[in-house]
Amino acid sequence: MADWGRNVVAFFFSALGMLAGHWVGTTGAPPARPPTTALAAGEALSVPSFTLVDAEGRQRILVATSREGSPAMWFFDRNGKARLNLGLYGDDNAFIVLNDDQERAVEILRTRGPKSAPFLVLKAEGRDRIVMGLGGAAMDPFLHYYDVDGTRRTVFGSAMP
Amino acid sequence: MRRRFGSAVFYLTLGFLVGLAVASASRRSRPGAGSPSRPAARELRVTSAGSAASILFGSSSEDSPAMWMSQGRGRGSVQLGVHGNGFPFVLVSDAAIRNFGLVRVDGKNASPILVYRSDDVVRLVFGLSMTEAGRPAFLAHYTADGARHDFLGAYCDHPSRACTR
Repeated sequence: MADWGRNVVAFFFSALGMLAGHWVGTTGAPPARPPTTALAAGEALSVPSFTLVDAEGRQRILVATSREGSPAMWFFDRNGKARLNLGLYGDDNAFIVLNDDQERAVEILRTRGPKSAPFLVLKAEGRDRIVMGLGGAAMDPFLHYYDVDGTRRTVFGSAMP
Repeated sequence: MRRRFGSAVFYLTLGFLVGLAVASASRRSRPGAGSPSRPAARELRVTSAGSAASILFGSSSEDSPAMWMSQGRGRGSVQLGVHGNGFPFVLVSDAAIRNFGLVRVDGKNASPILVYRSDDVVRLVFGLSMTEAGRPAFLAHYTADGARHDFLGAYCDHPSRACTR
């Protein structure tokens, strides 16, 4: 009976102590401040990546190099999904991509090919629905859209993306 | 009795230290407490000496990530980021935002939309339907007096934004 009582005391006070310690550690202490770097006037900050965090410490903007080794930037929503991405592809063409809440590309504004032809692609459910830009040898303008059944309609121009 | 009190204090102290260590470890593992070579901050401003140009990375009034680029002195600006509802946008505009090109995602269909506005009047809207099933394409343009012409599909432009809900 005495052992049982000792165990209860040990369990109860350990748990109470842990809760108190955790509370003090998370709320009682001042919030962790992001590291700061003092720069002299005119000096540049050179780092391999930069993360902007919100008040809760969540990553909201990331500036870094992509898997292709090109510079890029990602904007994250509150759920940690990348909703906006811009930068350069591996072939140095530029892009801006707007994503839905499942990180699927919805709108792509980019250049393409050795002539850096401008393209705008609007997508739904992962499928291209509107493609507009300049293409072909003469870089002629074109505008195509796709019906719900996937049939391509040409509004003007004929260049294929 | 005294022994039991001593034992309680011991376990209380031990538990407190364990709790403190766990809280400290979880704080360190949060993103944002990056190493000096991978800095993290709440705001970053890039300025250039002798110029009004600046780039600002930070949180918008909707508590969402955003970036502002401006040349200063009333010129144009580029803004991009994520709205409070999670929809991304890119806005290229004059300083007063009376003339702009806007690329955004909006509506219950999370439809991609492109908008051109001139002198505070929307002149062209292009994208996929925000309301219709199948999200058919639309292209609407407006005359300077506001008359709408549907070149392709149908654009819902109800002023109450009913089409985007």
